[in-house]
Amino acid sequence: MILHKMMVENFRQFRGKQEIEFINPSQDNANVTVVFGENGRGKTGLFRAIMFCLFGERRLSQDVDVPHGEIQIVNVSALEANPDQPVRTVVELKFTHREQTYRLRRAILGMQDENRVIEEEDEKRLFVTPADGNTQPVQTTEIDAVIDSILDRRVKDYFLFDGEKIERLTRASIEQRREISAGLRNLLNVDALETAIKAVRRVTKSLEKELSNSSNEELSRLLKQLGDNEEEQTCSRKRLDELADEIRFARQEIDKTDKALEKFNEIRHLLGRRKSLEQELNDQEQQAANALNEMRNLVCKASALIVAPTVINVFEHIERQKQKGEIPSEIRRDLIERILTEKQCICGREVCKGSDAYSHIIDWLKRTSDVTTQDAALNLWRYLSEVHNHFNDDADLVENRLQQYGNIHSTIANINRSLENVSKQIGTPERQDATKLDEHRKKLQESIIALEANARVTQTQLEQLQQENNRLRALLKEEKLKVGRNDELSRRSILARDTQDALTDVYYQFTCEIKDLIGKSATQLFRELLDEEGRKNLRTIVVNDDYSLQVLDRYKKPFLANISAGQRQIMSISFIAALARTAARGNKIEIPLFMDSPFGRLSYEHRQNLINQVPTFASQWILLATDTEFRRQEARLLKNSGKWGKFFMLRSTNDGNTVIMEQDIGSALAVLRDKEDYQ
Amino acid sequence: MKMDGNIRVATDAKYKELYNNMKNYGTVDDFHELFFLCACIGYRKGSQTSLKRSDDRFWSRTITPREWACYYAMVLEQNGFDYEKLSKDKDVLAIIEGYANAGMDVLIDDFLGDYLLPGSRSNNPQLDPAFCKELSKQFVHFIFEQSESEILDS
Repeated sequence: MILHKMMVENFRQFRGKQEIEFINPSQDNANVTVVFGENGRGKTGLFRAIMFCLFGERRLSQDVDVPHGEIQIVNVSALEANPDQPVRTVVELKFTHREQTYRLRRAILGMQDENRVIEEEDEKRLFVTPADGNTQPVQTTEIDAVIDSILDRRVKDYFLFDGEKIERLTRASIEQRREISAGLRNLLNVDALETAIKAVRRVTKSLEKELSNSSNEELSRLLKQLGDNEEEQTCSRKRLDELADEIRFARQEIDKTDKALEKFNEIRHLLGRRKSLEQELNDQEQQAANALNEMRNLVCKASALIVAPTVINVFEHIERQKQKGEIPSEIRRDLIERILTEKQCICGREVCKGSDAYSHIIDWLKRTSDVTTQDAALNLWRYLSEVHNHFNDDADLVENRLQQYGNIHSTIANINRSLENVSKQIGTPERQDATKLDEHRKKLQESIIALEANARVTQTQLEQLQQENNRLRALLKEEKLKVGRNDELSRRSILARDTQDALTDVYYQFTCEIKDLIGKSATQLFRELLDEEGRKNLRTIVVNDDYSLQVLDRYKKPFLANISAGQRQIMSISFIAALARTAARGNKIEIPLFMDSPFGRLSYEHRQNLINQVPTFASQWILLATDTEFRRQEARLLKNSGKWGKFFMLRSTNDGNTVIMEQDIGSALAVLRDKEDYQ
Repeated sequence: MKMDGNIRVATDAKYKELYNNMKNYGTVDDFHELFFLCACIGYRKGSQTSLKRSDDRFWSRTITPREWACYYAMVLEQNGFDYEKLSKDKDVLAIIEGYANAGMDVLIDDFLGDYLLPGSRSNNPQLDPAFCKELSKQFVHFIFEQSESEILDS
């Protein structure tokens, strides 16, 4: 799918008719269109307009917490100018897909009704022009199916990379796992399977309840335990969902408070400083949390160090026995025992008790041991050698990890001190309002920390319940066989449980496959986008079983706790791009890729890689950029890549609307500013 | 010395909650790790106490080869390198249970005491969630300190 042209009329900030003509990669070598504008000018509104035109949807995934009815499509100024008349909002899109040209037009009518705006669908039309040029209208009832065949509506959001989504994925949190799980689930496209599992689960439950009432005590007990376990799992999952919602709401409340605090202009720079310190604090706390999480892997290694003297002593003892030839013994014990019993040597000579020969043979006997003991000693020697060899490495590893954690901890303490200073400067008595908001904000942050801790405990409990569930199922199966009930009810119950297990296995296998696929694709992109230093160290992105993301280093060890904020951002971008690539079912992303303010915390080299690489894996890149991240340096890089085709600026008008203005690329450098201008 | 996986390993019943807490708060991955640490501490202190109320805690199949090797080494050293003492894994673990039981007392006295719910220490020690934020790190730090002192002593 290649976008050619979009016309918007009275759509959100865009009053009257306005157009954007995207660069056409099939005619030009270039495939990047830059839309430049400050925050609030309508950059995301353009993506929204495309989604509205394609699917009639007014909400994006990021609007999940905005109440229905609060997202208004019709331009406010146009409504105010025509108080008693409907205002028509239109979006028209021209695009090509597999050599056919499509012209899609969607309109709604909006009208002010006292304090609310009523928006009603007005028009939906689609024309298709095949290669022969013979344009045909598509029947209204078939339009949705045609569009869905071009772009599945459930994966549409993967083609918009907004800063918030990127940020969300950098945090190893419940929100991250939820986002990833939802992403993979959408790609799996197995609604029918999910419905089947739910239905079979209900049938199993009801059959097992019936069976429980008419079974022996043990079977009833197991069925009850299993039922309770499944109930508890449902509750834990529900609790995790609730916690994720609470965390998201708290974060939104923080954003709202920040906006309210922005009114205090004289302390704006302090607010900015506080925000960046908090961001840094967040990163460090995340690193500390990951480091803490990895600490438990060290318990066994560190514990073995306590008994190091014993391990070394026993190892050396066996080593000495080996060197003396006692293990493995050079002389067969059974042979010596036979000589002593028969009192005759193998040469036929008599061996009498008390003779020199007898004493020599007794000495030999002491040096031998039986075969089992020898094997045991040799095996133990091998195991201890392994443990012994690792002592130094283990001690170094434990010491390094503790030191690393200590460093993170002191960085956190320093940031907290700076934060305290900044907060003191913000919170003078004449700024009571700001201080109150500030306290509110602090409480919200504390509650987020508590909620996240709660979520971690709930997640662990859920994992334990799942283990217990497996154990109970195995016992139940055994008990059912033991009881040997062969009536209809019992057979149906076993069949239902087996069907549920089989369907769940199929679902799990699908999920694993898609996780691997995404992991591989994300890794490939990650390696392309990383700077040289990062490439040396970081090897693979994996999606863990709990849907969290992890980065492995060159020794295949988890390394997420140690990567920088910029590398995290690159990891998120790679993951979302991998979703988009898989959703587009190919190596090249055949759907236009929208990136809203992606450069955030990226280093110059990372930005350079992004600018060089994205146009190679996306057929069309629409970069929505703000003035603070798209500067002359980035513009020069993009221009030198030869992929930059069009440049639009979003300018605000006096009445709060936005005008789309096309500029030639050459003049962009004059409009944009240097990095130094922002310092 | 077969590293038999079908033995139930026991601890004193009063430590049940503490074992669960240590796992739930992410301080250890599994029970066998905490048991191993306690056994190492008990052995180095040379103290072994019998279990007042034995309570099965985990299956021996979760014990790693590294842990088994250390257990065999302890039993061998303790018994003057008599390999016969290693012939039955059940007997080996019975000895180790005694060390682990004594080790847990030391662990509580020297470290975990500060992290327990007030009043829970004597009968049914339980962690106080309010103090567990950095427990994993402090725990590893404590173990490492123990090992360093042992290395210095040796």
